Amino acid sequence: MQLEKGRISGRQMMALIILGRIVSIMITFPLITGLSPVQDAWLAGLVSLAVAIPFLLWIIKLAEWFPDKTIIEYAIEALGPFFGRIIGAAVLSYLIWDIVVATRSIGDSLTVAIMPDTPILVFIIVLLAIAANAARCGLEVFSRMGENSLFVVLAFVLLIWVLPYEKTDFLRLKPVLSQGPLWLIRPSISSFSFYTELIVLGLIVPYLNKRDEALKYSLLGLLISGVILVVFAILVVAVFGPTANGLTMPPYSLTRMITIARFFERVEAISMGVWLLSSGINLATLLWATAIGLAQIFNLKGYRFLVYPIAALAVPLSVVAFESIVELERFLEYDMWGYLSIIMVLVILLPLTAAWLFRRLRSDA
Amino acid sequence: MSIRTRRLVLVVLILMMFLTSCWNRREIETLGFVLAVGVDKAAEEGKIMLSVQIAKPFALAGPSVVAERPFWLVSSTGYTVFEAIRNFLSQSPRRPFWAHNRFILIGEELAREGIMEIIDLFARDGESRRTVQVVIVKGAKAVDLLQAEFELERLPSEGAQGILLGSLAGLGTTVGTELNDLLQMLELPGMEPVALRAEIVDRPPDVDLRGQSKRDVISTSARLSGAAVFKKDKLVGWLGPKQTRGLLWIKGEIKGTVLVVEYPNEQDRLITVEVIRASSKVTPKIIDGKPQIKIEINVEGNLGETQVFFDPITQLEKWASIERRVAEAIRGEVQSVLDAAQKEYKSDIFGFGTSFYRNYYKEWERMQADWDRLFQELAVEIDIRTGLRRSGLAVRGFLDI
Repeated sequence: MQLEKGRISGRQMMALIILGRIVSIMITFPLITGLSPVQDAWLAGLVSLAVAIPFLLWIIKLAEWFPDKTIIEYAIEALGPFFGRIIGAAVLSYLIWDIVVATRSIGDSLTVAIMPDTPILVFIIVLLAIAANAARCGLEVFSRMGENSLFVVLAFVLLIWVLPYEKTDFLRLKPVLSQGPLWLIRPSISSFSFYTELIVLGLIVPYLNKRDEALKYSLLGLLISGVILVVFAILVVAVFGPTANGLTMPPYSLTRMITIARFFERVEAISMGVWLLSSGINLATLLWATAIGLAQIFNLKGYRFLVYPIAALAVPLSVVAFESIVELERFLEYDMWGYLSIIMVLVILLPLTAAWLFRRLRSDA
Repeated sequence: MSIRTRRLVLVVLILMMFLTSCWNRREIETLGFVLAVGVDKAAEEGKIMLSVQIAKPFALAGPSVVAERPFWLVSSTGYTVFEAIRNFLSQSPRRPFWAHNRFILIGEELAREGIMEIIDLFARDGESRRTVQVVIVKGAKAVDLLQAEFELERLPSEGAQGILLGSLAGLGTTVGTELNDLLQMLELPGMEPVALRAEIVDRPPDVDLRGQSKRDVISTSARLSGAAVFKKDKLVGWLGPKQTRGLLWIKGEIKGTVLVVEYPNEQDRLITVEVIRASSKVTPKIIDGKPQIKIEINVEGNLGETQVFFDPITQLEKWASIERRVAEAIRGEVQSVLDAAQKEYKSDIFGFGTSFYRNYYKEWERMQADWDRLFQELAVEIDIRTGLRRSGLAVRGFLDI
């Protein structure tokens, strides 16, 4: 049974990965907020990237062991209809949480940055409605959109890196590792939760037109997003020094520092362009994945009609999930979202791996 | 749903994106553009007085002979900065708009009591920017300085900005302290803040062709030079222009300046050297458990003017001698600011403590509590290298035979 007829290329998958990561870096950047000493954030970024690589390989390997099947389908195949569906539900609940957090982040940011009196519901409904429409158009459509947007988004990111050069002082990154290497563990956990969203690849990889490209392009996407994270962590500290960890939206504040030759100022619209493009496509991807997964759990014949209800569910959830921006920022810390996402991912991946090993041992014997 | 209705829904949704701006619509005619803000203590105990210059677009657009000042100066009070800002709404028909604000002026009286209470809003607010310059007004209230006008520019904030950038590029006798820098100087361990100093000066009356004063009221202008020295968030004193240049030599922030030195063997004949490049390196060292600082300053300059006949080709030793004199002149300025900071103000405005924090973290943790005393006793080694590179379009000076 094929729910999704569309096929995407490796590059398009890479674009989806990078855009998804850019959302959380460019908007809330939980790695920086509240971290002290903040100048070592980039090292934590590097550590989490190093941990994310084997994690990614794990997801891709699982997809290779069960070719042509999404993570939901092979969970049901490997663990049986009951336990498989429980794992599938875990995947879906994780994805829905991700939608809720992503929606709330972009809504809060737009409210703080440009329209303080606008009810957050307006941003949330409009963005989710557009993303849901994109998701209903199918994987191919929003992946192409992602591939094309990627260039724009990366060009904007490059501008944000280069233009504040007058305000940077890289001495602000010293002292390095003043609290010793063990200090890196906690911020690395919080930063690693950036990457756990890659579990969504379990639903995308089966729809690649060239299966053997999966590893190459997902790794490339991971590395590019890791580099973006590390460079932002360096730049934010190079500009804001010890005050960086008090910023609500560090990269946005970074764009506000751009002044060139006294007239090229007020370019934070660049930031917002990146926010809207990347979070729109990220939300479309997540909505699509949730709908596909849900359809597969319940053996439904289509997934499109599920997209709107899921989006409609995400609207009130993202409003009521967090009372204030403080709760959102607190939630994204290592000891909440960090631990939670790592546990979720292990709960999903470990039984599948065990089941596969068990099957292989039996067939060998 | 048919394709058509779906498309219609999509179009409506996209249009909604634009409609959201209804909540925060800002028409330019309803805004008053704040050019500079002054913060003082209000007459009433515990209150803050905020004074803003708001641009008058119609006075700016009109012919320049109009005598009307192109800005409106208005004050408001409140227990906090935000409250005072909101209180402007009872006086100003246009909502003050802060995105174009260039200066935060702080009166001396308030600065001596501490600036921590008033800077938060400017760093938190979404309209204000951290690139705004923080200026301390010497011997006056900030509101008085806001009366100042500058020649050549109709808007005082443009005038002050021009003077500030000009002196930073060509004189090095001012410090440029953006709010972002100030916040970091406050938070960094082992560093005390400095900020730009401003004084009120009388502006010479406009003179017409018959030599008569045109204006009845002589307005004031402002001098932007020197620096305000803080200890934590409290103003403790001032640096003169030369001391400020000394500070910038140490920080390696001199972009260009001129130095006047006496010609070797001939007093009151002067040589002017134009500095075109300068850099510095501050190296912290710990010798026998005691902190020490070594400052290396590298300066490149050109021979800019001579008041005496001087032919460097035949008198090469004089060329080297001028280089040494330039180094001595710089050393004098550096020593003067070191003395002022170590002995008079007891405030580490150079960030020597920060260089220990960055390079000797373990030792710094022990020194930090005691840094005030250590800084006053800190041995500072100064090493200045100067290079005189070119001499303009003339090699030698001119003879009177």
